[in-house]
Amino acid sequence: MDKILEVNQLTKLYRNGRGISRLSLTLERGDVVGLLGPNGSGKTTAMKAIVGLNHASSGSVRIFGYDIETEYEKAMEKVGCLIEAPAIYEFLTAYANLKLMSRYHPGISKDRIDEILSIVRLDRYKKDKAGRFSLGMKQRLGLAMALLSEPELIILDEPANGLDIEGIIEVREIILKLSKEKGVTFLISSHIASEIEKTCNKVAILHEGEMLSFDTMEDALKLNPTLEDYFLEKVRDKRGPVIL
Amino acid sequence: MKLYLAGVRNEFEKLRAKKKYFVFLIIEIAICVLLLLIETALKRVSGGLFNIGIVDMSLVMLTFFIQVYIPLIIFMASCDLFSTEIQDGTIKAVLMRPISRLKIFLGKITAIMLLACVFLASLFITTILIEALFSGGVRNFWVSFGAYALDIVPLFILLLMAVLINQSTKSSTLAMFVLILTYTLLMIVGILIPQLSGLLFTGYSQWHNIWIGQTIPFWPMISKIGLLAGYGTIFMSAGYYLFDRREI
Repeated sequence: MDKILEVNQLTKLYRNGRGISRLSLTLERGDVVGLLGPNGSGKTTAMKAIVGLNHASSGSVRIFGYDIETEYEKAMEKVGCLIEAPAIYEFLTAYANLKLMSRYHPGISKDRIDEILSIVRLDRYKKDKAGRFSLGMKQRLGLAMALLSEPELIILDEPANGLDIEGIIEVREIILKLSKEKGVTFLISSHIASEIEKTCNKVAILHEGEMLSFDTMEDALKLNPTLEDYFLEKVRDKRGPVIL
Repeated sequence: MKLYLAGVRNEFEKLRAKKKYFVFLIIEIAICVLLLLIETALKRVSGGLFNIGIVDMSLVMLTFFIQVYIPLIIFMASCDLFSTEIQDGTIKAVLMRPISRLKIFLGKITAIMLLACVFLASLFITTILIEALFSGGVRNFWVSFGAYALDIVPLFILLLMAVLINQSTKSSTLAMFVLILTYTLLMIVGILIPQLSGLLFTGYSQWHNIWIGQTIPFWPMISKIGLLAGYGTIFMSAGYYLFDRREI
């Protein structure tokens, strides 16, 4: 299997002592990997360090075999990201936002921009300034920006943020469709276990900056009825039973 | 190179999309026209005795705009493309694309410099047109053109200083405040202590005065060019280092 993303002993510690410590995982083509953890467990920090928004304290990240620190452009060539709040220029229209991003990738036509706007159901609002969008619409635009270049690896940090029930289902369907039909690899973070369970085929549990486990969904659910139970089991293993 | 050019285009488009720069451009032209109207009115009232210098308007206006107006535009644009984007997180949109931080950094600087050149070019065209139409012809077209072209150099150094200061704060308001304060202080120091003026890059804001209208002494000129190049290298290197190490 093709190794799409290799994270090796990745450590990123902030001055306040928080961050992630010795994170290692490998994503193969077509994997949909969920990073599951509570708020503050280091999911966003891990994703930021993986795509080079933050500089790792130690460890390495290779995307499509290229080191993120030394071969950034090559590593990011086929990567799409949505990390934290969508990075949108509010004084530009939805179309202009995508047009700007399209210039960093060769061969993205106007038709592709229209197509992606239609996929995220923003085609009717393409001439509207993004500043007037609701939270959900901004999230959709952020998703469109991540999908625009037809990337082979897509990194999504809490993609369901701000979306309504229909929106969440649509995003899930887009992810599953791209993974099955085009072999796109996903790394998705969420603190909602059910969301990861429905979308991903592998799951990594992150807790207080440490990766407690990295299993296939099948293995995770062998001895546990739900992913939530699996998560609680792994956390209890680490810090002992919760006393009420 | 393609990615760098894409970056320049994008950054310039972002600046162009902000209406304030268009408004400031209109104000720049309006100031020139206003000066023309004032002079015309005063000439009529004084029977032709009063003259505030429309004959050399392009050079007269350059003095004000190069020291006050265009630096403010540069400060605003640098805050818009650096600290504001870092503050609101939109910088991530570019940082997560397959383009190196160096190209992003250079693209932003080039776009701001282009904007400054648009303001300079508009000023030049407006004042030259006024000279041509209302003072009986343009006397020193090439001298004026040369002065405008030469003054791009100190503006570029000023831009690099603005970019460096923008790297040291996440707040665009604070960055703008620090920029204006620093620039004002440097200008005041240059005026109060003339011996220091030659060592400060702000002392060269009217760079064209050194070149135009006199024989250029070779060695002093080399030292002045070296001084500006030194400032430029320090500002550029430190600015890029901080931008590259920046955690988003």
